[in-house]
Amino acid sequence: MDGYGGKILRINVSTGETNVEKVTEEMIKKYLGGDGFAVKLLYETVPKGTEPYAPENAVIITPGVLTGAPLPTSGKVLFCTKSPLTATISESVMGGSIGAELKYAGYDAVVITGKAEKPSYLFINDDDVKVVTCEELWRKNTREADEILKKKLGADVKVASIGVAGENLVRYAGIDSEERQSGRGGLGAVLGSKRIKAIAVRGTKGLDIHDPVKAMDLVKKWQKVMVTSGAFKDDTKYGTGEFLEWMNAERGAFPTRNFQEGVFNEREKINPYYWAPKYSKKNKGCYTCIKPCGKLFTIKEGPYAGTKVDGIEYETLYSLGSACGNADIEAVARANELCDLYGLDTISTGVTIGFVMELYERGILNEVEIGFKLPFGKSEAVPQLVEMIAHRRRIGDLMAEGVKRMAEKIGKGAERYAVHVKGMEPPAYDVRGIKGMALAFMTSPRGACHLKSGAYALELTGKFWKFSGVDRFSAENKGYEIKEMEDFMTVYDSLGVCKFSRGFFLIQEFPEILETMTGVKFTEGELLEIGERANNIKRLFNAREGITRKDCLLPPRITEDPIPEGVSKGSYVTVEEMNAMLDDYFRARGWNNEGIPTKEKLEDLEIEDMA
Amino acid sequence: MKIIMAYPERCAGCRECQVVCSLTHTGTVNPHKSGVNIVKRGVDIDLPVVCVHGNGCNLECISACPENAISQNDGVVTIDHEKCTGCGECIKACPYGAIQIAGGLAYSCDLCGGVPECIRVCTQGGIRYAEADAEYVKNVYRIIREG
Repeated sequence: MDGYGGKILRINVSTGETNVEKVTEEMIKKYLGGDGFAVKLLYETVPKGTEPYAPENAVIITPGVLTGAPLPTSGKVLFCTKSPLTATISESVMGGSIGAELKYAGYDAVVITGKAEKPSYLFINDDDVKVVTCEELWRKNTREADEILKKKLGADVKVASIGVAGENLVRYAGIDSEERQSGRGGLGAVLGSKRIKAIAVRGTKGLDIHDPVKAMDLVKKWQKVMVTSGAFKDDTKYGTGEFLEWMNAERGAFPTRNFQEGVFNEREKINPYYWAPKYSKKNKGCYTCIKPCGKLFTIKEGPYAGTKVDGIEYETLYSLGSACGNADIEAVARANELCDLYGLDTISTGVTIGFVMELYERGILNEVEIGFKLPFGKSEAVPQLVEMIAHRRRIGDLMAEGVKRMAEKIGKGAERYAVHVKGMEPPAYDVRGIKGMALAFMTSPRGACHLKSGAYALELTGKFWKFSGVDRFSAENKGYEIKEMEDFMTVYDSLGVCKFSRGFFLIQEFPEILETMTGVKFTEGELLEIGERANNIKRLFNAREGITRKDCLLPPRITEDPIPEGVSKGSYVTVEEMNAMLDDYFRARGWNNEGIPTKEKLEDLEIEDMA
Repeated sequence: MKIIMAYPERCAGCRECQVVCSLTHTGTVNPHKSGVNIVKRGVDIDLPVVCVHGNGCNLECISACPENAISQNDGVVTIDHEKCTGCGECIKACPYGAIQIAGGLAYSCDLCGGVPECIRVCTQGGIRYAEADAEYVKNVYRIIREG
């Protein structure tokens, strides 16, 4: 099957038993690949009420349809599970080469269930698949695990691994591969619970391309478009942090000090305009990315000498920076490196640290409980707390639970300051001043998230794709907008194309690209319907787990505290606006007002048998 | 002569060069069947490894091949797939690991008749089609030789 690996691999790591089935044409037309495959497989594999750390939970790995194909920026892979942080379906997409390597080994999906008796790794060597006991890997960091497995299995294998945070079941532990991460939602902890330290893949079969000559023409065409664009200059020079200054000065929506403010006054110290020329000498790109936004950040002297990290991304400049009031870029870099080595999501980690800082300043947690004084801006405490969280040492043990569970355990009104949706700590958008994104935080299946809709670009600039004149301070007409953006982005996650290319490849470009690579014809409408179908299944999964309307609601910081200064001063989302936006969204989706997909909608999407 | 020269201090490690090399030579995408291979170590090393066509090596592959499948014409080393049996002797002999084997055949850089496709997609300057420099080659591939 051109462009596809062609097979789904299931492996039970309790027994080592494997099962391979073929990807059918019907599955391709209905689910496309990547995200579409993952949600279908998770829904069918994980029974209702499964505990996230139970052997019955699954970690599903799906490269997209275009992952491994020659199209520039099409190298992504998606990891999916029932999350220990949110108890919802949770997916996280990473770059690196491991997704492409899985395709080259012949797999469009890998479904991992069970629990190994001893620390092990999974080795997928083309058709040869096995679970290998390897206790020497346990307690190693992700960089060491990569090195050990390459020495053992050959330098050409691609490795994804967890760090000690995953082993210690930190609820927001992630997975690392080639210094890129599936960070969000605790996938690393689920692998840790299965005692699977790493997944190593060698795929030597390659990928058949339907029309190789035209494929090369498309490579040349899109390369030219990308290289001559403004985005190319910004991405390659400064990376994703490029719009940090704009988010502060022009939009006043850069969350600061645990979402108390929307402007970080010391931002010039963490702005890549300042640090990229000083600390970064080269770019780092994901598989097939010719406009790399990654930066190799190195520190040569001082207290953090020896730090080397692929970053620092926009989200991390916020989470380990502004969210903690931390303006020391070297401390941010070191904390980022530690998160990567220990396998921690930088967003949840940083927001959790910022939350404890606010509790300290408000007297809810004291110096004795924390172990030291912890006001906002205490830079050196940030990498120190990353260590403590990963190893669950002292206060780090509590922090490893995430802000929602922490607040419940601490009591004393701590919940008032815990910023999360469905238990997921939010990314770098002060949604009090970006109301469509506030709705997107509510509706994302995995909790507060910017990527399931990607609507921030539309909301902040007022236009994208078929939308224009969008007002970020208004709560009107946001339901249809977010629904459409979610379906659009789900197509991206099914294709395996980087979301930072969404300005280049609008949905209408993909029918030609898909036919060239796979020979399968899709219309733009069919692609968006595949996105809609996947989003309905995600909602069905969450509904089956008992996630209701009230679990979608925003925290008090968003609905009660106006942004105190800057361009967005005074803006917040009222409770009425919150409920109206949610109603509007459920209507646009064809769901009832509890957010349950109607029978008619499921029939339209030909998934009525799933309800 | 000009060869593909590697500049690891600029290579971002995206491997698009490997992808298009295999696409244009085999009609499929298979980085294991590519004449260029990006070796990654830790966070900081992305090293494009490509055949140096005798500039900085002693053409060990040619002497090692029991089938006489590897030859050098006008400076360009090529592997004759009619003769290659995939025995892997060339891979053991190459001091830089610039030959790969997949599907029972060996693959290495043939310079695309003087218009290398890999160069076309490199936006970072990690590889360049430039005048061969044996001393530079020996230096840049030191980490491969030393393991």
